[in-house]
Amino acid sequence: MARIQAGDHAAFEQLVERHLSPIHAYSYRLCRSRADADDLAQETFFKVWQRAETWRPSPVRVSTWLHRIAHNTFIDVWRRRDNAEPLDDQTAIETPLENDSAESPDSRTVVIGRALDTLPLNQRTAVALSLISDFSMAETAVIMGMTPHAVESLIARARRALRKHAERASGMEG
Amino acid sequence: MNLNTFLDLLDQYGPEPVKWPETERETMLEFLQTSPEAARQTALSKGIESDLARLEHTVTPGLKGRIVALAAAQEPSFFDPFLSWITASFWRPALLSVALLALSVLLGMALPSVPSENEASFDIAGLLLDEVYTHYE
Repeated sequence: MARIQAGDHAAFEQLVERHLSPIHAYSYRLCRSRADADDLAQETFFKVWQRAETWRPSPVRVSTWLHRIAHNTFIDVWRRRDNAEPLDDQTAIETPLENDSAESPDSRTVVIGRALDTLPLNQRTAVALSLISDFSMAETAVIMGMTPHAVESLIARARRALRKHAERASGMEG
Repeated sequence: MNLNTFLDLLDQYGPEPVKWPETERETMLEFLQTSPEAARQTALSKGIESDLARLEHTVTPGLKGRIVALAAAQEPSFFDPFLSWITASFWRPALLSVALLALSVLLGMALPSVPSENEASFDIAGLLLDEVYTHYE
């Protein structure tokens, strides 16, 4: 980051190389659209380049900082949309958005990917960060701007919803 | 421990017993042994977490190049670090204004006084009058 702050393009390119895949994956989970995920990832890294001087060495990892920028950028755009999906509606979204899945075509991962897409935004975000990207509860809370307790609650609701979705998919009722 | 309580804890802490709270772990493990439904739901939850961990993602081809090119096209100007500093906090523009004002005052006090236009006019008039008197004497 110090080299990027000094305007080193090669260092910036290294940063993009290292973090683009997880940032793009996270963006895809938020946007549920490949084109929007491309734009969000691009905007995230552009902000990093423009505002590199604001980064200060801290206990927060660079990846956490990057995900927070991506999250805040997405929320800024989401707030401006008239028909934005609610943050934490209890009603799951029944229809996945597009067929262009960014996941591999394994049937079980396709099923879980689509199940994840039906979760309300906040639950989907918490799962993407904590259960997929392996951020700790504290890091997830920093990225989402919430308390760890609130994140735990979101993940519990998400697990319950995914269990019920898996039961329906397997044809069993629990 | 009943099924609903077990499922609440399962959803809160996940399907791995090592992550269950110590105060509940033994009770949960005992219930797991005796409840086929609890065992089924735990297996379901384990499958979900395993599937989530196996989700793979492919970045759009060419995206990295676009991002790097966009940054390269936005070369910072000479004044960017100064502008970034001055706009970083609300008090910095005020500090700069006070500093400029103080500098102006000091500069004004340090410069030698310049004769006013009226003083210069009298001097010139005096010279001209001297010239006239000399001519007529």
